[in-house]
Amino acid sequence: MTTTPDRARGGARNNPTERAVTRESAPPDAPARETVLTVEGLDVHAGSTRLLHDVTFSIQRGERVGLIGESGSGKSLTALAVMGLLAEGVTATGQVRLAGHDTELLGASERRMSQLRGDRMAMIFQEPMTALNPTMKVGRQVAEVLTQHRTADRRAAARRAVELLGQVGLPDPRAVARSYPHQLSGGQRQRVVAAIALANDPLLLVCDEPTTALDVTVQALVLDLIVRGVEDRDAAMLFITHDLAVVATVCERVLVMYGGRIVEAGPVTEVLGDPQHRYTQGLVAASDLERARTGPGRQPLDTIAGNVPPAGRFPDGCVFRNRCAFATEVCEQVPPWTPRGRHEAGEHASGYACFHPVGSETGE
Amino acid sequence: MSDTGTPHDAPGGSETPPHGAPGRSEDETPAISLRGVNREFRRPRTSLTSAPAVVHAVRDVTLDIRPGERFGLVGESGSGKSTLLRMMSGLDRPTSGEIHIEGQPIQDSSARRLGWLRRRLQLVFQDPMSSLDPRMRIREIISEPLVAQGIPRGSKVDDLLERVGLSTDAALRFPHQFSGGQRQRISVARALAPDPHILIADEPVSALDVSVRAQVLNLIDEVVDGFELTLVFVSHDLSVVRHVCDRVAVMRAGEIVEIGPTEQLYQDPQHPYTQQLLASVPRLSEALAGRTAAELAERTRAALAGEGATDEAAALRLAEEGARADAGIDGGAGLRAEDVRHDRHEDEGGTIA
Repeated sequence: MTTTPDRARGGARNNPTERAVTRESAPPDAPARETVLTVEGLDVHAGSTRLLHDVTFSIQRGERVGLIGESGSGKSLTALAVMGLLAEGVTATGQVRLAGHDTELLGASERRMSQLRGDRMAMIFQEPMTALNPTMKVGRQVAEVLTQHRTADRRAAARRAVELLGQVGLPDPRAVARSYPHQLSGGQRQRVVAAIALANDPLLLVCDEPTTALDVTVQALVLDLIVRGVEDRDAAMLFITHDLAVVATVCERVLVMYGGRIVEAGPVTEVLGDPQHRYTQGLVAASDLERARTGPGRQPLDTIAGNVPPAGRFPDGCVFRNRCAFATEVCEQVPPWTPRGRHEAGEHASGYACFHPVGSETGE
Repeated sequence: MSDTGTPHDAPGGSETPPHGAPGRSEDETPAISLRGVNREFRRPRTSLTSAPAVVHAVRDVTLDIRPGERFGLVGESGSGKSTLLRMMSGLDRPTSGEIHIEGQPIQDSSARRLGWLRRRLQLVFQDPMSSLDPRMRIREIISEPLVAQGIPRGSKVDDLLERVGLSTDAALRFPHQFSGGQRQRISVARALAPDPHILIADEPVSALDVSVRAQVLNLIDEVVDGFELTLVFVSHDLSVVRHVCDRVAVMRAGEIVEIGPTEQLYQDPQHPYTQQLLASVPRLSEALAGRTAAELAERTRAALAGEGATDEAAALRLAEEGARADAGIDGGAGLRAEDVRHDRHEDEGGTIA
């Protein structure tokens, strides 16, 4: 487990440009890093349909946590609930707390939330075209988030906006600041969105599939940019994706969601390298195209039987039991959380919820 | 194999057959044969005095696909792979060049005279929701190609449903009652209905979740074997193509820059662009071994630097524009997305027969 903080800083060292400085001042492997985000017993309902079940996790300062799962598993919903962006008619209960703010964010007023959003917590969405205002020049959109929260001086904000656009590696930031979103390419727009999100040095950055719409070369560059931005600010990051390779590249710790519950959590190397929950095991095996190549001829891929049920149609008890080859009667109960090893961020940071974890079977 | 010279000479002129078809007799009729295929699109006019810009979406592609081969086509968005695919399947016509399907030319025939082609070549599309008519029952969807061909339906629909792993009572339901993976199974069943020889799959698993993706890839594998099909598989996902295909062509800016047997191309890529693509793909095994985002980006930058991108801005520009067939048009740095928008559906530049 001690390997993870090393990996976190390894990235910064490899890239000696202007950032790195703040990162070095972070306490070396300190046992008690400040907890930035705490989510406890988060339930989300749409009418009578329960979409999230008892989601509990926390993220520490400087920690990059991935949230993976298939579509409909509730990962985006978790992010939206944290950001206070749930649609009307969708209600959240439980607790969401941000460091330095005693108030419960779930019950907070919209006015209070809009003070925090864009300042203390920020979000990067999947589709940069819809995240930007098409009728406003890009520079003003970056400056807006500064004038909204920090400075009344518009000129200073405009100057800072150009600076920020330069920091995210945009060619000729002055010209970019004067252009409209439609004049930029996908990768450039996503960089603008990143500049806006990072403008006020947030404590928490939430990224919802930020590179899914990008080509692979651009993805590699944008992922690096986001990780650097977060490292420079020693911010906490929640990174949502369905791509296991991306999450393993970007994050130190990962939460696996299925059917609106977190079914497994822990350091990336443990969860994806040696999964305990049967769903995680199936997910890792199904995405492993390399294994199928070794051996004689063309091997069929491992699959998870069945399909992801639509929201609200997941079975009671263990949400995965109707697709799980190991399910027994006991799985009709909700499996308790089994901590795995000890993690500085608490028992929910590493563990799984499964009655028949990998390795528990006798005859295999 | 795979010429490393300038991209222009890699796929060869129209006489030289492409490389990478080992161990087959010379005189076998290729399932699909392209000779010097070009496709140009004209942009909407932006000025009264100057001619509209022309996008060269596919440039001088010469290619043979053998019967029974599993052929992969990879490339980033805008590289021309979908345009090439549309021309192969008779949905679009080349500006110049020849396309033969099982020895018969298709480039000059009108859609009405390509009925025979639909019996031999079928397609599976990316988005299984928009490619299935929401108002038709599954039975009608699967039997539609048969009706169009005037082939008696018989019990074929039930056979096909079983073949793709769906129960026969699915026949009476509608597409919305199925999940994405099941819908893609229906698409495969529909494609198989007229007993085609060639199956063209355009990003068939890109819209699917990981656990379902594996099921659909296995299904494609099974039906290609079981029905002895020639497969053309298009994807932007290099690892999926590696899993599925025997031979792969890499497209960039409308050209095939490298083509070769899958393992050879992946293990020893010759063209800088192929190297760049392979360097940029995040891999789970490598990430678990400790590769960070910074290292991944460093590899990508190193590959881009090999092509002359020395700073971040140039690397970004090259990464974004280098693969596009329409990069650099209108004299700018090729950065303007509004120019890039309309090219897909514009159809003004084709030959008038």
